[in-house]
Amino acid sequence: MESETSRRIFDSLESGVLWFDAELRIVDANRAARDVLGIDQRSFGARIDDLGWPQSDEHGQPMPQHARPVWRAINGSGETTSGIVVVQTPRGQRWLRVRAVPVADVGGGRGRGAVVSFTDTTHERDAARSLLESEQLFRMFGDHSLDLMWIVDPRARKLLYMNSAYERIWGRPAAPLYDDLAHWLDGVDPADRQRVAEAALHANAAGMYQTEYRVNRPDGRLVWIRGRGFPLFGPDGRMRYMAGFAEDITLERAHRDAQERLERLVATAPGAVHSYCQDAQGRSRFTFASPAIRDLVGVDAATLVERGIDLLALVHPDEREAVAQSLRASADLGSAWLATFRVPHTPGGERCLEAHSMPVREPDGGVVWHGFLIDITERRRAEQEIRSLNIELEHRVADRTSELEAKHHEMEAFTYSVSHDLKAPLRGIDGYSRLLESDHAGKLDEEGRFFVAMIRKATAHMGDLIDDLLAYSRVERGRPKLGPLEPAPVVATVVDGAAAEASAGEVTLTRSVEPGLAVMGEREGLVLALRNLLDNALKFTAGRPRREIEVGVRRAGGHALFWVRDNGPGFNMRYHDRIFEIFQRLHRAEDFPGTGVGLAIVRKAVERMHGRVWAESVAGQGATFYIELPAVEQAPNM
Amino acid sequence: MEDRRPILLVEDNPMDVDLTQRAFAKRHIVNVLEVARDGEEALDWMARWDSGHPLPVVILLDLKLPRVSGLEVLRQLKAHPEYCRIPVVVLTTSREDTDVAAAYALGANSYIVKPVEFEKFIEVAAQIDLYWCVLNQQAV
Repeated sequence: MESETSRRIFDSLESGVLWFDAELRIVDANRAARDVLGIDQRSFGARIDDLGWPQSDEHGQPMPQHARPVWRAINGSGETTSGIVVVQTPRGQRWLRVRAVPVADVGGGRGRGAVVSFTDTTHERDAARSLLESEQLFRMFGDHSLDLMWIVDPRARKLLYMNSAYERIWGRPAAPLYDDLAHWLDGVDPADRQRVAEAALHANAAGMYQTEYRVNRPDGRLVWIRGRGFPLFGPDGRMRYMAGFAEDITLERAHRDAQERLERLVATAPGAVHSYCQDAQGRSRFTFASPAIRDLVGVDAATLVERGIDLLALVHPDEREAVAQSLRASADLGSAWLATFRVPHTPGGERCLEAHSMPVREPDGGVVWHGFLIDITERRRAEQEIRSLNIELEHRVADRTSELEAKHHEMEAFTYSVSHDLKAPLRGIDGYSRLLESDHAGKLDEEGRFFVAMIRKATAHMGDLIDDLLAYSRVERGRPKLGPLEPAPVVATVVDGAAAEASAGEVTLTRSVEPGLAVMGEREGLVLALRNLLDNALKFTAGRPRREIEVGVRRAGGHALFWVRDNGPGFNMRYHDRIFEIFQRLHRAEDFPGTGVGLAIVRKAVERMHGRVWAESVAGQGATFYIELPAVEQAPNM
Repeated sequence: MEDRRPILLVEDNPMDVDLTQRAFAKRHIVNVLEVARDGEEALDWMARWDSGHPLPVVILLDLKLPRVSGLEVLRQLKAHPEYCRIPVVVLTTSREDTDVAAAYALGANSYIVKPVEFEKFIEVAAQIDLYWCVLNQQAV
């Protein structure tokens, strides 16, 4: 360094400058070089390798002598060389960007050498390195996150970063997103797309946003996402990036849905849901109650639980012991606690409650009942009303029944009077007519005797009428004793009963009975009906040649059909309904005597057995009378 | 051996009484026909028997009577330690099952429905006489 001026210039340079001779000895160094390398003038003349400072390249490989820019400058073809040299100095590792220029004379008669200038890049290097490290750290951190993390450059509409959670949660590759950010919405459920896109757009202006939406994975699974986005600002206060997280909340959501469902259920369930606890010492209190309990017991759920109120304290005093007893029984047997009791003080006055709970034995010996209380006040009231209505109804039925019974008695008394009082004078008329006829015949002429005969005939008819009326009224009264009945013996009784009269009148009386039949009926009623029909047939065939009558029974569907067929004069079907009405006669009395009651008795007797009676005829060709009764499956043992 | 003790007829209808007497006469029944015109009178006869009036061979009892009914007369007769042995023939117009059942339940010995025709009535009177006054052997 020849002049003071040039030395000052060199020492003022920011870059370090070193002069080497051809033997690589340090000839001189400016201040910057001395400061960076920590050398002074005592080191001048020493070879750099003698300083014991390992040198390496930028990749950390030891740098042999011939690779160094200074060596290459001295021993090369006279060109300037450059490179990065990492020197381990006593002040630490230094990253130097080196330029070596060969010179013919380094001054001081030392001949040729090289001037080496360098810039210390150690600080820049460190900064770049720590940036790299932090980015690597960030990526590692991001890839370990279960939640999706992303950073977008909104101006360029470009995805800058996204962690691997995307592929895991969305089930889709992330690469297309780097090409076109619009693919972001591909997985989002179509129903939520609009909303999600708007939330993101809005966030640019409003800052942070949060939204929940559904994602359809290619494998068909539906995932619920909670997405959060927020702007990242530059030092100038302007937004540089949008970043955010997206979290798989499918499970949480299912949980929440279940919870909400449960809460809705609890809130809307009839009555109040409760947990009622009895500890090992027998102290009882509510540990949970749904809000509806307030209306049932007059205390709100929070107070009930906070103050540890015992249910028994709320129960009507008269019923406390019974409720306590039912709880003890439930705890002892592990069976459901079912109890009904009154709670006197509620906003709606006294309520009647019903408890349904299952006991669960606790490890500490206590018992917890989980279940519900329902308000049965209205039900009780309705039941009470029904009960009193029933009682009233029973009273009314009893009143009506006794009224009917009174009527019935009245009717019996009337019948009795008819039989007694009407017949007594008849007996007188007949008796005295007869006495007139027998004891005073001499005082009567033929016409007189005819009159007496007419009086006696009318009396006899009147007697028949009264008897038939009484028979009819007897049929009407009283309930039939219905039961399974075999028709064959009934038909036999009726036919045999008329056998004498039939043979005397030269009637061919036949019977036709289908075996194995049974009917639901009353023997007396059926005999009465068939006997009347048979009497009818005998009466109407009287005087006809070859009188034929058939009595029979056969099955007809679910019924048994009885019939009595004759070859009498028959009747005009126009009147077939009238013949069963009382006092209705289709024939003149001189042709066929009768009172017009017999067939009415038949119909009455058959209807009492829930049967049906009708007649078919062609005038001049006989008549058939039918009785239909319900058949039963099995013939009774008779 | 014919029993010539009287026959007691309990009957409120005078015509029936008369006809009964005539029917008996037609059949030449010689027993005296004593008559009670209603239930109360019938019961009064017990006092007469107490004081020595001969007991009837048979009582013909109508059921429908003024004041005390025929069934009540029957009940009291059959409740009596001694008079319960007198045969009672219910002679009535009623065919009611309930009347028949009640009469027998109270101890009636027979139940006959009065026929309207006088010939049949005479026949009934004859049968009563034959059975109760001739054939039937009574406890003494």
